[in-house]
Amino acid sequence: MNRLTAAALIAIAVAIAGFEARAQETAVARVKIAEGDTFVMRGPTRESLAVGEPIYLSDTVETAAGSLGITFLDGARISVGPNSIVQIKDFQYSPRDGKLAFLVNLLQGTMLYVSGVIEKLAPQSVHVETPYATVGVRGTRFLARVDPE
Amino acid sequence: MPIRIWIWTLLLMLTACAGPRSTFVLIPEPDGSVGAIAVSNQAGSQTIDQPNQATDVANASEAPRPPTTLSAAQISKTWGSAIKAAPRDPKHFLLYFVSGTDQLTQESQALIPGIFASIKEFPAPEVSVVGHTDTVGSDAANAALAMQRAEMVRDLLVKDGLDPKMIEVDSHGEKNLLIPTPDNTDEPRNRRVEVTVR
Repeated sequence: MNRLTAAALIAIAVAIAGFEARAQETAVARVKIAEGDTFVMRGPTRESLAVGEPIYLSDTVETAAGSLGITFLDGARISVGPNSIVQIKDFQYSPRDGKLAFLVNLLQGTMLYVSGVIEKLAPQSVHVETPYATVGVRGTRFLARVDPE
Repeated sequence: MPIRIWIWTLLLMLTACAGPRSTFVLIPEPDGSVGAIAVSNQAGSQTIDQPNQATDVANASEAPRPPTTLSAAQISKTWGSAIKAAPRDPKHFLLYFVSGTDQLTQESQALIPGIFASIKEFPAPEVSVVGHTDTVGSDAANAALAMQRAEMVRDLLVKDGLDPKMIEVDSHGEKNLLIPTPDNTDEPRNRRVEVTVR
């Protein structure tokens, strides 16, 4: 076997392992409401979203003419109106290990955020980013609107 | 001269109409209470702690502006769609055991039908079963005990017909107290299993 073939085989093995790992990853949220055009960007792929589908860390959820509502493992919720884009950047919900974090990035559109247990236990670990400002939260819910850059 | 005045007026109107690129609004909880949000960028920070108050942020290099109050109509116009797509508030059930036994108290047993009824109200329902302890004993012992208790409740729910695929079980040990107490404090209300339907 020459080096090129070996390299190719290793690359394929790594890709398969990565895919398997993703398939076993726990969802951090689930779609509860999906109206009209709603999508998820996951790596290089873009898929339509339907009620009941899981959302994973690093997913970007998008709407065109539509709206979407998701609930996280800790009970936090975000919902977006049309023409919105939200990246799910960090979610850690393990109070036993002291690992608590929540970070989403609203790139454009309109969003409602409602806090969950992570925010109750560690409000300093919860942030919503946007291109123009970052929001810190103390036990509450808020609305955000962002025009694209 | 009149033409120049018109051109200037038009330019002023256009810049005024450009409008801030983002807005953040604090809204009340269903019970009317509010928390607070702090909106910050490299130019400054604004805290909002009154219901329906908003701060505009024009861009990343302008500080968040002082708060204004938005009307219900303004909020509905901009965020009506996002608000309508909000998933239901999760429903919480607190279950307790008869001290030193594996039996749920009578009051807790009486909550079980409500759990099943609640599941029917949620699209794509999920059920989390989380065990908690008080602060008596070590972190590690409490983490294990809480997990044991959560698993018992999970088994009970499955026996009663709940689809195991809908359930996730976890332990928060002594790290998520219902009643805040110092370490090594006996508090029966903290020794619970929380079932949450979402």
